[in-house]
Amino acid sequence: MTDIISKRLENGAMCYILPKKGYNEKEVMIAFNYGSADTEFFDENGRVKQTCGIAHFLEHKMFEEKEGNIFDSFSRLGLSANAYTDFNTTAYYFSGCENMEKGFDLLMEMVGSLYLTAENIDKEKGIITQEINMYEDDPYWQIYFNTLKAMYSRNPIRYSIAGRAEDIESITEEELKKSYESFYTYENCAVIVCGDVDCDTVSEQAEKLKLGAKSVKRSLCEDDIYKREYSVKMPVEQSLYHIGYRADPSISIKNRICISNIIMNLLCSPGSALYERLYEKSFIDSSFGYEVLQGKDYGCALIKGEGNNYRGIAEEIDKEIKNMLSSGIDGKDVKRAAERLKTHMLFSCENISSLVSHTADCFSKNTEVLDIYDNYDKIDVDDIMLYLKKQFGEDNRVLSTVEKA
Amino acid sequence: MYTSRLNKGADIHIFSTDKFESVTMCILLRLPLKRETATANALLASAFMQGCAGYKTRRRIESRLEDIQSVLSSNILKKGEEHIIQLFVRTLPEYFGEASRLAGDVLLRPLFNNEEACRRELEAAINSLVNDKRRYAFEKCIENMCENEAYGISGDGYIRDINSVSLHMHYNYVMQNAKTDIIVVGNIDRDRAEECIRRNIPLDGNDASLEPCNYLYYPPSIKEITEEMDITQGKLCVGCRLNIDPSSGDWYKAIVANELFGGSASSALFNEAREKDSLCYYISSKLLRFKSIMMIEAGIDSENRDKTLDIITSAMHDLSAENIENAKKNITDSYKTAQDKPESIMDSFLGSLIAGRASSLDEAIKNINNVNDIDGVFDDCHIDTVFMLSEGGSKAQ
Repeated sequence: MTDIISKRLENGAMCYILPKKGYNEKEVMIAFNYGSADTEFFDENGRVKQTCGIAHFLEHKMFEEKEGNIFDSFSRLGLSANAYTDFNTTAYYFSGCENMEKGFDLLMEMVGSLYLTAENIDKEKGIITQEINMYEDDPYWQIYFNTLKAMYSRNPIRYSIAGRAEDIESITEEELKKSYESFYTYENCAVIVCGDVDCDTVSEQAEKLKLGAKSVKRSLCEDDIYKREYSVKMPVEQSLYHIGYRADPSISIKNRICISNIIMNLLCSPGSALYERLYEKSFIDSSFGYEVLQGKDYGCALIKGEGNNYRGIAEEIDKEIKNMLSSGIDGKDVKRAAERLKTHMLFSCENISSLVSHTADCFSKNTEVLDIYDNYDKIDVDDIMLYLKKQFGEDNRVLSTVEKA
Repeated sequence: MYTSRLNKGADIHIFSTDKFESVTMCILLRLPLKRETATANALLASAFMQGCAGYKTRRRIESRLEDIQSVLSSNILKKGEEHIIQLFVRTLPEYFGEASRLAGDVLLRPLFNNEEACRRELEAAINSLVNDKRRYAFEKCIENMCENEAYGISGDGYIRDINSVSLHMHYNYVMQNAKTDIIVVGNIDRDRAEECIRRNIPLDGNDASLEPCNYLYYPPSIKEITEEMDITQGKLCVGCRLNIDPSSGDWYKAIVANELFGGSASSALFNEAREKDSLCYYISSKLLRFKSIMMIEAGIDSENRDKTLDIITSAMHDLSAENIENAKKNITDSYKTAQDKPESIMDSFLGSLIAGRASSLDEAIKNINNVNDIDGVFDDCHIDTVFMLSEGGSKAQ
């Protein structure tokens, strides 16, 4: 498995160095523990409630400098830069083979200052509206957010990352500044460097990072299922479905990640009894699969696919879960699933960009990639049985579908 | 890359490196892309995973894969005018023997005992194209643009042909007619990899031959096609014929020109259409090498179709070479970084097999660095097809 060196910098930010000997590519990321779900928080003046989509809007605006678009400055160094926002993270990164030090300085400069004008905010609204429209037409994106919408009544992860076109119209310079000052701080920041690099040089350079030191308090939101079933119509040829089980956020994130993945692997991977049965009944095809999503105050295990027999599938899943609970699970099967999941992690960590974004994701969730990897060995049958009993009941399940219009 | 002949019509290529912890292997069954075999090839690609002698069901294959810490999948590729059935394996060095044996069983002793499921699965896969509007517009544009060429044939096959395929017969046809290339990349000794493949995947020889792709075409007029759908954002896809020989030195000029035109976030299209006019979130261009085609894609409101087309044509005519050195650097860096991913190493090697000549990384970099200008690169470029997937209703034109 890959090596990861992590240390707290003197300025307070975290630094992760992911050495990849012999690789030509290097990637540098500056990630903030701040995403679309952080719309409510407390600062010195009390409770703050921001517009949905603000973190993503701010991400777009960070590329603007007085001298113009910063993409071009990276390009002049032969580097390609990009960024993304998800529920808990906003990340800026670039990659290339040379000029890494100059690029690193440029990236630090970029996140260390905010340049806003009424005009450039307005222009961005047009671009982001097109981005939102693009997702409006994407049934895979729509079903994903509808599932989260169904699962949670209040938690902000139920809202799309970029927000709604009508909401972002109201975003102002003042609100963006507030968001920047509240979250682009040392304590929320991780510097991640991957490639054939020298550790000392990297961490020395990372000390130059200039950020604010404000501290805000976030609110956690645990709430109830909004709707057990959620369905929309779109121009698709056959239905899309998600069958989701909510997680228990009182359990540590790394345990939730490992336990839910092992359960999903045992329950519905292509090597499972259930998969074979569903396949033989013609209920599923190769679009069938699963996904695990875990965050601070939310989480779920999703079984998903395309086809019209989702009610039959949900029934069979229930039967299989009851069967696992009554006849028990073999400890050897749990170990085997854990080994398989570890091998998959090893495969994906060979890829620079997936390793870097995985590291950023773990930072925002207060864990580390190797902690998760090692944690797979610590999960036993009792953990699995307990979680299965508590979280995989019908009362904790939602069904989200996209039907043919 | 070390190459060795396995049998007539079948070669092994091995790139041994300890840069990766894993070993990746692909078995490529390369066939000409034809209307009459397109569906059968796609069906066969999904049928391999249904069971083989020794592991009679999908579940048994998967269960074996769990035991040997490996991944095995099959899929279909369309590259130039080749249709390629791929078996893809990823494993750890200590399991390469077992993994190659399983891949050999799946390839050489398949059972096809669940044909109905394969047909159902392929139909669903073809139907799901419409879920991805960008890809849908792209495929529709190619289909119309190349309606009289093999390249216009769908790599996924056709629903109306699914029931007439006989998997057993087609399997025999493929094994007798496909040029097979097995590529291995990763942490494994070259001799050991070769020996495992010779023992576990003993292919019979055949007389496979593949024709090079025709790349010259002058469209008599521009095809303009609009399709309406109940969607929020329109998808514009423009196909252009470059008429530049993909195996000539001029092709490198085209690669550099495409980078400047629409290949990055500093390109002319991105700056004009997105940053200046806020018309779109994405606009980009890419090259389809073997057909000498350049495709431009943008997500826009349909009412902005003509405005976007104007931006495209004027950017093409007035393309500035001011940033040529950055563009060259981006391209050569992308060649270097492709060496960091086993899949990209395999993909670029397959590209050189199709082109009929292998060029080393250093040669490719040198060729890009030798491009000093982009003068006249689009002189013989003609827009062939403009495909617009439009929002429908009152907004459509």
